[in-house]
Amino acid sequence: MTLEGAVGIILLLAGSFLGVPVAVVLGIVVLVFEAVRQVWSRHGLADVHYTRRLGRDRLEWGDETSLTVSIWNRRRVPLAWLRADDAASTGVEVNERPLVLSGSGDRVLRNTWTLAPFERVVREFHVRADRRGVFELGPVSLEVGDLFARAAASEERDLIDHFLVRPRTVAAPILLDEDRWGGEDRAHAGLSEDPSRFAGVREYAPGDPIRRIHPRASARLGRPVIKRFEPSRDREVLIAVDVQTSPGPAWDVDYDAEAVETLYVTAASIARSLLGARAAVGLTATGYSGVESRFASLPVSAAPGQTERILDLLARLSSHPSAPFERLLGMVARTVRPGTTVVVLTTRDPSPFIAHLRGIQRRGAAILVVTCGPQGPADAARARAAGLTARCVQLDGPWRTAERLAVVA
Amino acid sequence: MPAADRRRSWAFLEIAPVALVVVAEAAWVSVIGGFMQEVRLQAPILGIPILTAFVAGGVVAARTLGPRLGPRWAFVGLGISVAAGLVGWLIAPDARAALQEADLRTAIGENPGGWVAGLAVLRGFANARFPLSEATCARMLRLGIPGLALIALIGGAVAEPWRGIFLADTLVAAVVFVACGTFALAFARQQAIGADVHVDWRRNRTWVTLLAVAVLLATGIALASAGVVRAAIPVLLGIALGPFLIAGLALGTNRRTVRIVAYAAAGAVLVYVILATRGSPPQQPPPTAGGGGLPSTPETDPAIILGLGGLGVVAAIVVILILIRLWMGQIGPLDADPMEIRTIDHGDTPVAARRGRRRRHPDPVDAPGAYLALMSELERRPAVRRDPAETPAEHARRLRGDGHGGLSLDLLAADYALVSFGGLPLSQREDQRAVRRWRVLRSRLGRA
Repeated sequence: MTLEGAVGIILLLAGSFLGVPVAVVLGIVVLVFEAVRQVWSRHGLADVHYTRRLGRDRLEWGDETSLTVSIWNRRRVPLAWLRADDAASTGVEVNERPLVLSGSGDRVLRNTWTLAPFERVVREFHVRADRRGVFELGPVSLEVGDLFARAAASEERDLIDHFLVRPRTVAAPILLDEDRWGGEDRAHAGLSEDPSRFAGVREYAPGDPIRRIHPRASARLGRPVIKRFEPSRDREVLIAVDVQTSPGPAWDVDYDAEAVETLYVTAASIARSLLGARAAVGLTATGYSGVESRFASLPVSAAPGQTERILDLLARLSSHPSAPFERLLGMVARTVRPGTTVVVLTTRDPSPFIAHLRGIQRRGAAILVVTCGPQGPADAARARAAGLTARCVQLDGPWRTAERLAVVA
Repeated sequence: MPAADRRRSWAFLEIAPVALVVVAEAAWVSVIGGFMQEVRLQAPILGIPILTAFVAGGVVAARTLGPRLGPRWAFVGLGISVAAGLVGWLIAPDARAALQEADLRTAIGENPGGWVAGLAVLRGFANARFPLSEATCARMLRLGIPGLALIALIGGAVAEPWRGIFLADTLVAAVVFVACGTFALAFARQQAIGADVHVDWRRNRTWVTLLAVAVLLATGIALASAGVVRAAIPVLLGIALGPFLIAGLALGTNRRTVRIVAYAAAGAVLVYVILATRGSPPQQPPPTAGGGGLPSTPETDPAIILGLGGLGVVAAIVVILILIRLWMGQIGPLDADPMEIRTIDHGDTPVAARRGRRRRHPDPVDAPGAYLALMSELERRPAVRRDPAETPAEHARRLRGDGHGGLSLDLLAADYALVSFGGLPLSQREDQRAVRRWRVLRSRLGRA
């Protein structure tokens, strides 16, 4: 029994026994109001339909998508008010309405309506995120007011939507511009031809080397012809991202969020530029990506959609490392195919894992160390001193506003 | 909608509940004034309309002078309250006459209820914040209803004819108080809930109408049934108290229930003792000589109560209808939300129709029908309904484990599985047994 109900009964009894009609009237009124409230609290949210729909579940950073929220009162009774609090994970932003803090301290998108019988209201918002990542909307907490606008009933509905925001990409140079023999793809220019790949003959032209004249074909045709070979280049690239941005043990959860985001923007930009140059690219990183493994990994591929898959993986990656980078390099050394170029992207001094990089080299893979931290030139110099190929790349501004990625050393 | 119209519209939305709460405040203050007059065996001077003006004056003063005077407002406000009390006191001609004759003692004794005008102004100060504070309004109703009843109970102990006059006035004031206060609180709550998104109650005319009907119906029922209830409750309680107590003790009660009953009983005894010791039995009115003095009022009878109450209800209906008409008709078009689309959608199958069909379902005649009918009825009960991933046998096993089901459900589920999944026909006797199990289970599981 509620306090109001008890007060109503006391008034009713006191008024009846003491012969005061005012108390009886007030008691009855209070009890009638209380009865209405009890009915509302039992059936307040019955036949109230709430739906939420996201326009897209994948966005590039800076893009926004539509969020359609619909409420439908499928009853003959009006609702004085109905409030829906959609929990939103950190980083979600709604253009049209600021998120508020709920009673439990969560950030919520709050919608309130007053609904007539059978009324359906559809509201459209636009959501975005302030950084890359996987974001969540929901569950939704519904609360309804009774006829007298008192909070009467509430419930939480397990309605959860996710959307993924890919990291930003900027124009980046193609870091692997050297065509090499023995690769798996044709080179754009014919400078580096593979003599093991015979591709036919052509007419002799003055200046052609005498050694490339095809003697038997020339004798058969009665005129000199020259052997042609398939040009080749190395186009299988695995980008290994060192998520740890500060020196120290990998289990140290302290990280610089801006440095991590810069690292991911750099990785995404490099991957996109390589894929744009028809390279087969894969990605591996020491970060959690929502699966059980401690290493995020995407096999090398040049198939259509590989750019999106790499960007999705970068979006899912945690901001803190999941394991020491050396362990990831050890795994790469065991699994990498000979001929693959491993691009090691780091913001730290590469000295601690140079031995592991040499191990990868011994497996027949090429190594390119790409440093992008504040000490990038010095880190690249240390890698070069250790006999490794190294570049230093930097964005031309903060990751939110940068326009291009440039090789600075 | 132009910005000026929008501002006017929102300002109006904020003022509407304040206007209602001003009347409600005046109503309960009038009861206090009436009680003070009754104690002095005088007829009340200040009614609800005059006190409404005082409360409204308080609101206006607080809104206009308060922000300008800053810290000095507290002293000025006190002065205004005292001045209002003086005005209320001097409204009575007898008080003014005594004062002119320099008979201060007599003047002070005249119209003591007039001083509540100061209280009315003070209550105006409390409601000067726009939008209306939901907490202030809720507190007014929460304390006001038992407070009015208590004053009525105490005032009922005074001799006639003052008792009758006071109770009649109090009844009217109580009805006005409850009606206006409930309306004001509902609007204030809605405003508070939708403060950040501008929920507009004018969009929901059905709700406003239903609220008005509910308030009027509740007060009407209360007024109409007060006499009957008043007479019936002592008799009914006298008859039922003993059996109820025995049944309660037999069935057992929890600690909370016992505590509530104990508090209620203690409160009732306290009120009874106070009234029995301090109040005197209603006396006959003093004989009036030559028709002078106050007209004698008979002891409050249901006819007068209903008449006065009816007048109040009629007045409230008229006022509310006029207000609703004014609010909904004269204000410009509603400020439509550009992000929002509102439609009235009855759906393909209206809820009422679906419910109607469900009620009209014939009784099942075979085992699969019995099982499906049972599942359909259990669907509304989360504790016992079948999960989508459960097989009939798993569901029956779970309910048996929870203590809800029993062997009957297992057998019914097995019959269903045999026919539906195994394709085996059942005999007529087995179908009849399944239907009997359905009848037993629907009543047993329906209580879960």
